[in-house]
Amino acid sequence: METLLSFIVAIANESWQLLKESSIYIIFGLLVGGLLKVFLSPTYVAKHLGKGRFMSVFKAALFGIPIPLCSCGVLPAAASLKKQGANNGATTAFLISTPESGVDSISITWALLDPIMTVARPLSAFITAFVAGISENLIHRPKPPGLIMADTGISDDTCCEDKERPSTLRKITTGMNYAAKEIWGDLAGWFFFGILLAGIISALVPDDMIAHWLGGGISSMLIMLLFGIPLYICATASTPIAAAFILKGVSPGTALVFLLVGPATNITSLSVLIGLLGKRATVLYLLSISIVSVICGLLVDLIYNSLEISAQASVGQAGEIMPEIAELGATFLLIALSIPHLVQWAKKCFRPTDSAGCECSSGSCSTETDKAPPPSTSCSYPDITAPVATLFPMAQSAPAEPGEIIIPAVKQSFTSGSMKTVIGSIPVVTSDLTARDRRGSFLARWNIGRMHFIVEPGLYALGNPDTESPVLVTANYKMSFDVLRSSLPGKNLWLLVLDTKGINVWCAAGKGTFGTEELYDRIRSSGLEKIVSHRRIIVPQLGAPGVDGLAIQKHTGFHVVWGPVSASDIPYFLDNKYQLTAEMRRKLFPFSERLALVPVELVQASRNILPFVLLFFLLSGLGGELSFRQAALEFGPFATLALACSVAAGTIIVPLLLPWIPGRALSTKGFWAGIITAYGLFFFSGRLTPSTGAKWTEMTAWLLIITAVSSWFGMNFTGATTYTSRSGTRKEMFRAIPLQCAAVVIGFSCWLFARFYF
Amino acid sequence: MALFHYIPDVTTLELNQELCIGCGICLVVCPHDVFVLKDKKALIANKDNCMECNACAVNCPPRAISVESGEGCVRSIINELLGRECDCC
Repeated sequence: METLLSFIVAIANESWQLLKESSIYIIFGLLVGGLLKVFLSPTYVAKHLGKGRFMSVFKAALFGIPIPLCSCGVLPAAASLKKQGANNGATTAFLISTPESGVDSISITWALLDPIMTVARPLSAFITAFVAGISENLIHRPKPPGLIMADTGISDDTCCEDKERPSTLRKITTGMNYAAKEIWGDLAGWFFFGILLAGIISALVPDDMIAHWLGGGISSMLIMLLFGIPLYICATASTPIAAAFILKGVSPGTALVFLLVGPATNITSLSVLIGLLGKRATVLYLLSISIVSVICGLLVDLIYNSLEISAQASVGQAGEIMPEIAELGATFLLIALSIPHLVQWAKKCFRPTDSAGCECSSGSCSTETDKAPPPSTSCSYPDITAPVATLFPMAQSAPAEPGEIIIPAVKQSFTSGSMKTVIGSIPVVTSDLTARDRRGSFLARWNIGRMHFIVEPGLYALGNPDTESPVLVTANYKMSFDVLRSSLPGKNLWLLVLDTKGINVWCAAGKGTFGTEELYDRIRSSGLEKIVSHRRIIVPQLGAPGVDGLAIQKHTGFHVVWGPVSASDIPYFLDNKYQLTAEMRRKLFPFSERLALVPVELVQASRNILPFVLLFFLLSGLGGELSFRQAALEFGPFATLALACSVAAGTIIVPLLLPWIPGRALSTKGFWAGIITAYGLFFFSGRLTPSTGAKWTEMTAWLLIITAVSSWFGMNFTGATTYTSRSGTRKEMFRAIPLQCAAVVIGFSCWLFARFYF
Repeated sequence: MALFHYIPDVTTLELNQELCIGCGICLVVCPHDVFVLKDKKALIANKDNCMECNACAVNCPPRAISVESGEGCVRSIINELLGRECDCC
């Protein structure tokens, strides 16, 4: 345990050092890359790449050097060059020199490696590209370029820019935007991965092992080739890894092979190349890269040996030129730029299929899809009239053929038998809930297994109904169904379950799944017309937003009677000739209901806040005189506690104390809950009167962050309440979100200030 | 216990009294006591109680009621603003 922890600390330390040293150079590289993008028009590039067997390749290789694109990003650019008339050799050259080097990777090489490598890298890239392009053109003599400049959309907006001639300032802004979003978006995830990997290599791999295998010579370069060709890593990300290799005793030439081959090729891009250039050209491309890279690697080793310098000594030197403050500033800027990209990247990595990225926090009404989050709870109305449910995944009832009758399975976890009717055996349920039913409801409230908590849609018998018995309509969310039947002891009724995809009545009505069409189809496909002699169905009042009662009557002959809001009032309703008091038509939002919503809100919010807890731990460990571990343990726990308090304020205090907290907007209520919680936190942790300036700043930071986060989660509770309108929610959002953001940004800055400058 | 009151003066609910036939179905389906019946015509009595659920508009026989309905849910509004497909809320 102890050693594991120290390993982690060592990795984090190494990675942090690398990050700090490289950030400022990356930002510089991104700036230049963005400017290149807007000032160097691909049309111009293409004009020079069509003519001549040698000149075109030479120019293509040269153009590719500064452009910061990775091996996948370069493919579309190269494809459009080819379309515009560039020959195969030029395309190949461009394909090699572009990913192998770029302004960003050149500047980070300067930061992490040494001047020789900084020159050797783009130079080797150029040579590799040139050789590969020339051999391609020698073997396949290019046809004279035909229609140059067919305006097949070169890359994105560049062609339009030519027409509009935007101002220089405008171009620069566009370029900066492009750098931060597009270029860094391609690189960020892999860069941090590279930094981490480099940290692991530095911290864990024993020096002599690597030095033994990769100390230099042809064999170590070949090993590196095998390693680097299939690997997908961008030029920027490969640099820290190469630096770590060199520190561990890898020869600089071998590291160069890695720097060239790693970015230039990967399995995906190779397969695309075959399509773009053909098989033969692809083999040629690989061969040229391999051979030239190894030769360059050998040459570089020769240079180091003959000059008698050790590459190791240079690592990290560049960083010391920069003042610490500039480095830290650049690092935080880079981290800030990266967060959105990293989130995207992580999503892509861990959930390759789920592109929608839909995470309705309160799940007030869940999604239509099966994986979707939680159904009914947050819309909070489970205890409405509901029908039967089953724990089995529904045999998704396809839309019935006209006249076809679909009967739900008789054997489901909650059914107690079956009864024979004119249309066949219909499942029977009772009003008694079993332990299993209760357990399911409990888990669903905690957002566990909620999407499978459904009942097969169709007709069920409660007790022993006959042709005169009333028909209650409900949703196929099992909790709705259980609440309904358990509130009807001793009654004999028919329950018609609509397919609402496991969502409670009210939410489903809002979405339209508990709707006119579904009710119409279900009346027809359930065989209801043959089962009962009357023509009357009782639909929960909260289903009214989705169900047009008149239309149902017109098209099915069934008269819709609006039942009470709460299932518990149904017995009264049935016993009093379908009359209700005004009170029973009102949807209130009592304490018990708000309490029931807390778990789902809490689970969702905690999930959202968790990455930030980790972030604070990480940041806590960095900077200052203390070691990473000491510092992390000094500041991390309080950060965690503070964030936990803010979540609790927004998702527990706001729902429970809803009527008593001042303000109408939920964000206002969240704000006050945050203030109270922050006060409590400071009081009980003895920080109410901080003793030093640093502590004052830190407490100010937490006050701001806690109130903002609490306000945000309070506002999110709108999805679960029973009384918030869309117009109102919109209005409060536009007021609150800017304030919340400002508070978080200022608070976070204060925290960083307290952490790093006191 | 009483109903909760959300932000005032925002609802998009409108009632065209000329079309109203006084059937009273809106009083039945509304969960928040928005309507009353007066002189055989419905009347919006508690406008700020409205949560724009659409029940009255869907069930009004002469279609005399209109409201821009939608879920009062932050997440769904954000998704809508971002142009995302998901209607998870």
